[in-house]
Amino acid sequence: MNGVERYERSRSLFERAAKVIPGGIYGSKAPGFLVPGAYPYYIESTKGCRMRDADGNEYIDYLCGYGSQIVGYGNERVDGPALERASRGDLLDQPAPVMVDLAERLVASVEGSSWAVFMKNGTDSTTLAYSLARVRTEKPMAIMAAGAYHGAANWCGANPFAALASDREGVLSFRYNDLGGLERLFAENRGRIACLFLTPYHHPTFKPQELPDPALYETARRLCDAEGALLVMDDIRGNFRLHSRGSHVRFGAKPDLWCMGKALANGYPISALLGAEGTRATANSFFITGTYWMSAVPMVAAMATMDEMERLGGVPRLESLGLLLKEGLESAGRESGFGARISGPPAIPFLTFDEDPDLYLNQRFGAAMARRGVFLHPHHNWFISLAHGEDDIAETVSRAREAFAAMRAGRE
Amino acid sequence: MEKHVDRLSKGEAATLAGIRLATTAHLVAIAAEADPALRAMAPKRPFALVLSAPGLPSVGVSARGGRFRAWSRSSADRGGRGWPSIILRFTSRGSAARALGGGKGMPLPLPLGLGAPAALAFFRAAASRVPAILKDGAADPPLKARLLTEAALRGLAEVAALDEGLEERLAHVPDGSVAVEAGEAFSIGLRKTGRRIEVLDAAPTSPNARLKFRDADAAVAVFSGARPAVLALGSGEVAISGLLPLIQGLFAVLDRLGEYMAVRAGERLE
Ligand SMILES: Cc1ncc(COP(=O)(O)O)c(C=O)c1O
Repeated sequence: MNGVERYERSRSLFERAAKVIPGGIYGSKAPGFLVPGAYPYYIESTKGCRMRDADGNEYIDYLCGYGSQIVGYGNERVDGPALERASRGDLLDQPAPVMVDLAERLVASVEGSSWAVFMKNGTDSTTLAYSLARVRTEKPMAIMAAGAYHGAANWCGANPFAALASDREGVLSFRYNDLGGLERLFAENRGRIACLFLTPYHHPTFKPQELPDPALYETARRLCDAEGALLVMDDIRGNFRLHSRGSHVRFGAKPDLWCMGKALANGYPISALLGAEGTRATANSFFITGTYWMSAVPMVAAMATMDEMERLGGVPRLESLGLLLKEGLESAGRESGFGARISGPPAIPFLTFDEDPDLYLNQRFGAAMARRGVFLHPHHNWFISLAHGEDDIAETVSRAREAFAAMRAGRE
Repeated sequence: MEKHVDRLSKGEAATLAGIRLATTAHLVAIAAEADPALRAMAPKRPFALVLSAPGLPSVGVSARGGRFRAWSRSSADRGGRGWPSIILRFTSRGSAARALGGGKGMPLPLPLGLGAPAALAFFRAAASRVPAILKDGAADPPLKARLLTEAALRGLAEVAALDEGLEERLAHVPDGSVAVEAGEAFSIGLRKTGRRIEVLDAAPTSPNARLKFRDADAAVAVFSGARPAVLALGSGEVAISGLLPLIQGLFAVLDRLGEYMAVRAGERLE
């Protein structure tokens, strides 16, 4: 079946969408970020690690709602309590008691934190972190790694239009893992740095992922301390996938603020900003609000998700599934003569080809896998969930073997 | 951006002038190569006609042995220029933008050789033939597509070089080469290095990215602005592959070019 027939409904929905929605589908889910015509544009339903698109094609999913799924789509142990809470009200005049439970639980889990506030999107959390850091330090600038994504706000550069340039004036960037460059940036801007944003490891789009230099966090802490700046760990993508006490523990970082989101409630909309004791007074003095920020259902879902993660084996299980996938895909690639390489931590893998930095092979491989019922993003890292099993990984590797062979034969 | 040339800022008028100069020269050369009626009108004697405006690199069209060539800042090589037979000098960038956009204004002709009058007459005829081909519903789609693509790529090079507002954006777009193809209609390319964009006569053999239109009509739809690129992408009329941040970054520059191309020069400003 060719792409046109296979994704006919997706395409006709897209044509309708284009008339009433800018871009048809905007942002990171725009067809142009995948391989247009070779992937579905609309998804109809999901369960566990499987999903069905608008045309009825089925997939094993490795994007997990861009990381928001960690214990599986439609997990009854999460959805049950969430639906029960919904039946008694979600968005209330005042917070539901569960907000206290969740804050206590997060503070107990995330090593070094002593308070938590809640919002909806990761961007809400990073934006509040930036504001808090500026107020706390009375300094204007933030530093981040070039190519790092901290959200869709103007200050962190999601829309680099000239008319918005003044919104970006507060942010400087350095090349990830370039410790000398980071030192220089601090030195050149002494007395002006409010915070340093780091993701636990570097996960730029279109590029292999990079683990932190062993000296990165020690250097970052030292530079922040000397400057009186805050170290912000943007753990939105990692979010308990890398360590049950926060990704910083895995890499030996000692942040002042933590941004969390995505998988926090297995897809229910909630993000969080956590802080160390030294930032509490500033947070106390801040006006922090949003109509939906205290809705109860996602908080119940977050509690249930943490329980479910523990029950299903947590990080060690994710890690072993990820390693299985890594070994399987790399060796399937080698069998057909491809230098396919998985980068990043095993639970958040990304595949690139050593011989093809321009990603033509990624695009062919992604399209060949989508055709075979496996959804792997060609340009953005993937996610393993606790709903994936050894059999799903084995099926994926077997499809990959076929895909690599077809690519080698020039058929796809 | 203001919609009339007389309301543009100095910088915007300069950018628009750069776009109009380069696209005029290159489109005249392509139309002359492709259109038998125009070829028949071409002077027998080789000529080179230069267009210039203060503060902008000059552009030109030349004819020799039945072949037409144009040059501008985005030309990949310096060949085919020849000694100018005539220079058309605009007194200001604003007047170049206005006159080449169909509004009032005349350049000062500076004849430098015997072929000057014939070269000027031919250039005038060819320059007015280009919009006529583009408007003509019955015109050959591959030629239309080729002209619009040329206008887009040459315009892209000018906006990238001249519009200060794009400096930061371009700094985030990776350098590299792109093959631009439309079915059987044409296959050309470009190379981006910093803010410089060179347009290549043939698609590079190992481009960093490919932009492939399904056919000439798809290229016409996108480059005439009738079909937004993101929608054409989603619907499969155009395919992109390889280093996508390079193409997507250039799409953003094309959007900016679209704003300049929408600036009117013809009607009087009230
Ligand atoms: C590291 C990181 N920070 C921030 C964000 C922004 O989160 P959201 O899209 O929920 O606003 C993301 C989302 O992809 C992310 O991966």
